[in-house]
Amino acid sequence: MAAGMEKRELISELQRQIALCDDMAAYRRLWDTLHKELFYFSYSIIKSRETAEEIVSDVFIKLWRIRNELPGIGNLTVFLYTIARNLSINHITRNYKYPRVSLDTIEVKNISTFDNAEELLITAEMTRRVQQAVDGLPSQCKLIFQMVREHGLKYREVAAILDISELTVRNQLVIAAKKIAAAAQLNVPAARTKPKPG
Amino acid sequence: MMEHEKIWHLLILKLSGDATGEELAELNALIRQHPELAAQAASVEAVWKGKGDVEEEHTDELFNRHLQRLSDDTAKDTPFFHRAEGFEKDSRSRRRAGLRWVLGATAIAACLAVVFLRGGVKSGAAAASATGNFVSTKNGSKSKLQLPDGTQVWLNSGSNISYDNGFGERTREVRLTGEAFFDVAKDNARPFIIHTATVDVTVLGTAFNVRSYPEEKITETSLIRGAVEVTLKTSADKKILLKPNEKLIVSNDSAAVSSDSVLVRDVHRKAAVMTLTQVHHLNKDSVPSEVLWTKNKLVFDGETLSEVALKLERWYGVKVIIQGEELKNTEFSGVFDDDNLTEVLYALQLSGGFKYVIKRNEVIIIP
Repeated sequence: MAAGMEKRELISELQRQIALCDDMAAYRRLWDTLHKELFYFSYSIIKSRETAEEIVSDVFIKLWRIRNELPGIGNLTVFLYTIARNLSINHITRNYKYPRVSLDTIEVKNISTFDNAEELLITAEMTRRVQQAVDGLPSQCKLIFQMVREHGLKYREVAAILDISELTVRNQLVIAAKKIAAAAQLNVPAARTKPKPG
Repeated sequence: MMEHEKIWHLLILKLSGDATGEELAELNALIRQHPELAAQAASVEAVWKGKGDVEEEHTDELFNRHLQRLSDDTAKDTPFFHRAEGFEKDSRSRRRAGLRWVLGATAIAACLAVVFLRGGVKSGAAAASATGNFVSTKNGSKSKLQLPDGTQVWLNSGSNISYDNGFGERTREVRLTGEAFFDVAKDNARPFIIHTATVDVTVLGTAFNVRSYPEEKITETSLIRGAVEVTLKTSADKKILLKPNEKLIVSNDSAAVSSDSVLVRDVHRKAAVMTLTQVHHLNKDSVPSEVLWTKNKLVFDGETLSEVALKLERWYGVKVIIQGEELKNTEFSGVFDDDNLTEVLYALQLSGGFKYVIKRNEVIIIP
């Protein structure tokens, strides 16, 4: 039904249908469209599948409760991610009794997967090293990398969700890209590449 | 080195899909100028795009688990559920994997209702003779709607409610056939009146249940909080004020209710024309059995098989035929939490000592 329709357009259309006439079928399609990425987003922060599932469920319960206010929400994806972020951080604050928790102090789980099947350039050994490199990224950097690569979020969306500047998003992504390049590079036979600057 | 940084910035813009055409062209130009970075950039691009297999998920099962939680949460909107904390926990622990399509059906019915009401308002403006607004539920489905004044109405299956376009101008009046739970928005200036075939119920702001099915012998009004005044159709001077947790049962046989009929308190309801009694809490701290249907629970509270059959017909949208007269008066009690028809019949036949056959949309109960 949504053939050719961009994901964002689809989300806006579903947003309109839910707000206008309590459309349960549209609600289900919105859930189908976003539940998985919200799950992985939350899971990478709280590292419990069961709780992450509940948080995604709570996000969509909240959505249903305020469906009359949906027309006033500019970017529904950012809105839902922000609720998921807050619920995830609240969960950690409640359960670990840290006085204050921010995303750069929470150990973020790497949910990215890498596959060499399609690309002859990348060997299995490189994939393993890249995986390791991403595992080892600082928490916020890892989270931003995942949000952009796995969930296809835009810079400004990531910035809005995490409440940081777009410049920070960009800088963190550059760090991630360089680490990946370094991990992948060792196996590149073209040894004429210069040593990494800096 | 600044140009190296620029390459990285542009590369991740490209990979995230944020890059403009100009930026892509700039990236290609820079990579041509710095062949030493070409291999690295290509590796990062390949790694970025090469995603591993995503695990399979049972999406329907997941969504149903979510619907169950949504449905539990929605039920909390009903005012008295806030007080009944034990009830909420109870319902969560008895979480069922079964489909909650009733909720979906409700939402879709509500959607139709909204569309219809909006249409009604428009035509009302165009033609003053428009008859008003009418919302009905078929057997097998329930609905929740909001009236223009903010009053919430849960409409049980096989019921309908209607009101004129002038609703809310001076009074708030609705006509009800069947069963509905009302949470009336407070407005002292404009009384809320529900007309049924047998009684009129006048309220100022409260939560209560009215049950007035034409095929049943009685009309019941159960008050959860606030105050309501019930007036008998046959004698307007007969007004009964209900206090919270009280229930008024009036016989639908209009000939039997006259101005000199006596209000009987707490006697067996089947013997009286008009009875004032308490709502029935099946266990302490629970929701009264009279309004459990709003929580999607099917309740039989000392009801005869004939009454049970009527409820089953409305709840599941089937036809129930009882063969054998003496069976019709057997009484049943029980609460069914989102069970399907077969499960309910199976449980009933265990205690009722009857057999049943299901043929398409027909249930035949045999001794």
